[in-house]
Amino acid sequence: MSSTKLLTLKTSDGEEFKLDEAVAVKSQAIKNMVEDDCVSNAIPLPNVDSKTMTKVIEYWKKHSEEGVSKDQLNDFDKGFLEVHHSVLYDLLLAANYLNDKELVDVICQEVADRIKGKTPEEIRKEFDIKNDFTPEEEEKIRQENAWAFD
Amino acid sequence: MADSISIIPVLPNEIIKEILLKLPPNSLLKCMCVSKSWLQLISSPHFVKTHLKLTANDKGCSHHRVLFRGLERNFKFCCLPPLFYKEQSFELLDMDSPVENPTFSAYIVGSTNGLICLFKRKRETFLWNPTIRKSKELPKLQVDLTLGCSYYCKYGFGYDELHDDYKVVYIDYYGNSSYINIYSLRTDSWRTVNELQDIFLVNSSGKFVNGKLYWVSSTGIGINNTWGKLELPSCGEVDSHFILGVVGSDLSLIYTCRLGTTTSDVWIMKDCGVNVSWTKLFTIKYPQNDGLYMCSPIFTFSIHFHESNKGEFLLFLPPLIMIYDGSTRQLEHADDVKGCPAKIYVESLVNPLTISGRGRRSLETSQSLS
Repeated sequence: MSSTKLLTLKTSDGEEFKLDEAVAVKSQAIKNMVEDDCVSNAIPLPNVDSKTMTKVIEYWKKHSEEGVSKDQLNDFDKGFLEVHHSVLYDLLLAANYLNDKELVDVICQEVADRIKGKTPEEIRKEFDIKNDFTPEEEEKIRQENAWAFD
Repeated sequence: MADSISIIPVLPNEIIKEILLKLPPNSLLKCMCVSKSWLQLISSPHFVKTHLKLTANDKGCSHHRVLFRGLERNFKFCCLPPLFYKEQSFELLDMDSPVENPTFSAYIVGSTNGLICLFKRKRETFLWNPTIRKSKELPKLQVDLTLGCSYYCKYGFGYDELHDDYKVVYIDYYGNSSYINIYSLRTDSWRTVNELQDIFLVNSSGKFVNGKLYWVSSTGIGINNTWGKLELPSCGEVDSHFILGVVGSDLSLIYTCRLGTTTSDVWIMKDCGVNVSWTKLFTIKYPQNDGLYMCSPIFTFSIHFHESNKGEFLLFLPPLIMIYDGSTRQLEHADDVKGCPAKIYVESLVNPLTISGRGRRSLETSQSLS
């Protein structure tokens, strides 16, 4: 009988998470380490904090469960992504660092959906981006595509 | 739940790019105002190409649109999926065009990568992206050809992948000679190339499929850019009539054995480089009137096919839209639409003004793209 291998992941704030290897390899980064056989001790994840790791593991576990229908997964995803955008970005950065393409894709789509209805000013606020256009420059771009701003 | 100031993490550029690639063109136009680096990213040719690839390959065709000739002389458009899936709400929306009274005065040559090539009576040709509402008028051809748009001139519009360029082809016949004029968007200029020997092209607009333009000629099909010939399926009748169309990424043909009959066969061509094979897909049976209407050489028809993921084909037989269901072999009318379907196009950011060498972005940024 094969034993399910447990991996230990250590986050930036020192917390340790034990996880089935089968689930943890959703992260390509972890998968590579498993294949290179350097997982005897805890895997350090200095770029992910425990709060975010908890959420990522929640996602991985749900998407590894057997007998879950597509609709149920969609409902789960919807609820999972209903968070403040700063939490969403932390998740996105973690998913990117862990190299889980599927999760990155799902979160990017959520962020894109949130951008759709927003004005440029609202977008800047949400991404904490500085407006480096002069008022004249910005006005010129708006005028070129005035109809898109309605 | 935030009890302290939530610090918004900065997202790296690759992630921002992934997010922006998922946005539709009109949201992206708004995003151009956000910052200089976003403007540069969205306008970059690489981003435009990647974005186009995603929208064009979307399985549900949610980024495909249909252009209609409206009843009040103007163009209208709608989304493609509701034509197939009746549960989805169908809406016909107004649209600007670079040409006045487009319903009557504009001839649609073709559509590729979101650009539509329009031709007006007095030799005015436009490359137009209806999604971002940008159009470019082509310089007039130097050669003064026969007056107006004669029966003999042939057009084609396509994308040259090798040179990342858009080309418009215009073939005219004077007496026994034929002249092929090719316009390149990158150089914003026309050039005239060698004649076509002994080939008389029958239909006016060439269909662009997989890098080649196809026309029906009196002896088979001629292909641009290096002219070649293809055999056609035929029943041998002299009076047979061919109309070319495009199904997905394959060339197809509506073949009517004899003018006036009530059936036409739809064939599809598979080109795997070395071999070309034709397969008959299905037979259309018209009510008597439609058959005659369609085969009359007086009217120029453009037939468009589109295959949905249920295996249905959408045919535009203006003014009708019909859906052929492969499994039930039924041909039925789609809901009545107040307009004449003209062309299927995909939403894209391709801007004809910035591709041509003469067009410059009005807002020059000092950083150079890496």
